[in-house]
Amino acid sequence: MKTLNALLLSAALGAVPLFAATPAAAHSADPGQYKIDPVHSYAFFTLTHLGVSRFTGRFDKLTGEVTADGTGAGNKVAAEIDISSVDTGFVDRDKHLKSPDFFAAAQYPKAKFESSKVVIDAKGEGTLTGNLTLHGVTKPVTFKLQHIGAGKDPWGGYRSGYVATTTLKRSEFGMTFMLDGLGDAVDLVLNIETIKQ
Amino acid sequence: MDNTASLAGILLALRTVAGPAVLSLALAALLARALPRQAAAVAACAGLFLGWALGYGHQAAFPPAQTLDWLPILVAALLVAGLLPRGRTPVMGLILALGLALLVPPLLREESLAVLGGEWGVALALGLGLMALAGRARGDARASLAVAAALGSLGFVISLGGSIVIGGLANTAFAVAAALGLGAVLCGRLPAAGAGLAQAGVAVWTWLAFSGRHLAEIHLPETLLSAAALATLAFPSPKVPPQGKLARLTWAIVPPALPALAAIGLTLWRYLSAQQGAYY
Repeated sequence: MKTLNALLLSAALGAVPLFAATPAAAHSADPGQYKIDPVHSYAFFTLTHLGVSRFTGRFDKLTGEVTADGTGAGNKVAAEIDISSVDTGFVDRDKHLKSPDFFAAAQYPKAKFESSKVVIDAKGEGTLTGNLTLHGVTKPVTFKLQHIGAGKDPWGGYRSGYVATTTLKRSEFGMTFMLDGLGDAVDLVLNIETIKQ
Repeated sequence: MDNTASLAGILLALRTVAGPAVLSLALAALLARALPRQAAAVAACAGLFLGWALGYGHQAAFPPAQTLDWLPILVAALLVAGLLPRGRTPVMGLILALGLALLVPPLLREESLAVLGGEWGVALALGLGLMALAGRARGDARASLAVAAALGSLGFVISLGGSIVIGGLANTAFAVAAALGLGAVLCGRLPAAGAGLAQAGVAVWTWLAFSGRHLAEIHLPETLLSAAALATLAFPSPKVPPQGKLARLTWAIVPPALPALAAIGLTLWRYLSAQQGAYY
């Protein structure tokens, strides 16, 4: 029991510096190169099911790079989503989503986004415009962008996080299966945490 | 109440199964006199194209971009090869080998060349073996019904197991094979599907099974049970043919139907035991 108490105490003490070093929210990230932290970044999608409810799934593997230049003109985002990481909490449905009925993951294993323009104001709000390649089709897409915060992390690094949201039509990307039952309009939310390099 | 969404799956199944079956039967009947040798192949080809167009055509691309875009070309090549007077089996084997090879490149992102090469070889050997069995059919309905049973069970397994589109293509092929096979047994005026058509059906089964395994992740036991429906063609024919339509039908349909039903049952059991209700 003593051993357990000692372990719990040391764990609690060990946790203190972590919380003390939690980044404070700031609406401008330090200029520099950032990498998307795949462990704290997700792409969520939501669409209607049978016209009666809204259904959400996510992609667990989101990688890429962000360039923050401080002024805005040189801001860049390049991101990739691993389609096989789709997770709807139901293995059989995930398998079906990866099949040629929907994402055709074997044929088109990645969704890619390359920004052409990033605008963000002092409040941390703006737009992210660029080309999204999904299911082998590339289309221009504009996300509403919100900078959540930036600051030092507990391990001596520096992080900056964003939420990007948009709505796209899956039929425009050649995903036309079951449009009667599963909505065409898909809300896409990217929760992105980046680590300065 | 608007039932459009809830009926979409049933309507799709009707379009991709009933439509091709009716078209194949009608064409076989129409062409039976004018083109006695080619009627069944033309009817099968038209039925398969209709099912492919109704179930997948809206997302098809030409030149082919996805593997499923190649299916009409593969089917047409197989059916033309099926009409060759000589060297039919080697040509069909070559078409099957190329058709299977078309599926491999996108899969190399996830699997090694050695693994996929091995699986390609196994699939080709299985397909060639089953094609050899189907090639022994001489104008009786047995081969057509074995092909129908195998394609029908594969369609069910893939539809419930991962991809309605690929499963739908197998269901279309099932509908065409069943319509032509049953039509020939029940109506003497319709042309019987010959060995060439049965071999083409086996090649389509092999191609769809390989697609289902790798693009929809269907399970191996169900795939092998479906293949067993075709393997029943290895059973020797009775020395005295069964008399009467019903006896002939029973003799032709029961052996392949048993493993086909086992594949369907196993898929259904797996599906129901994995979840409380349909996720579609």
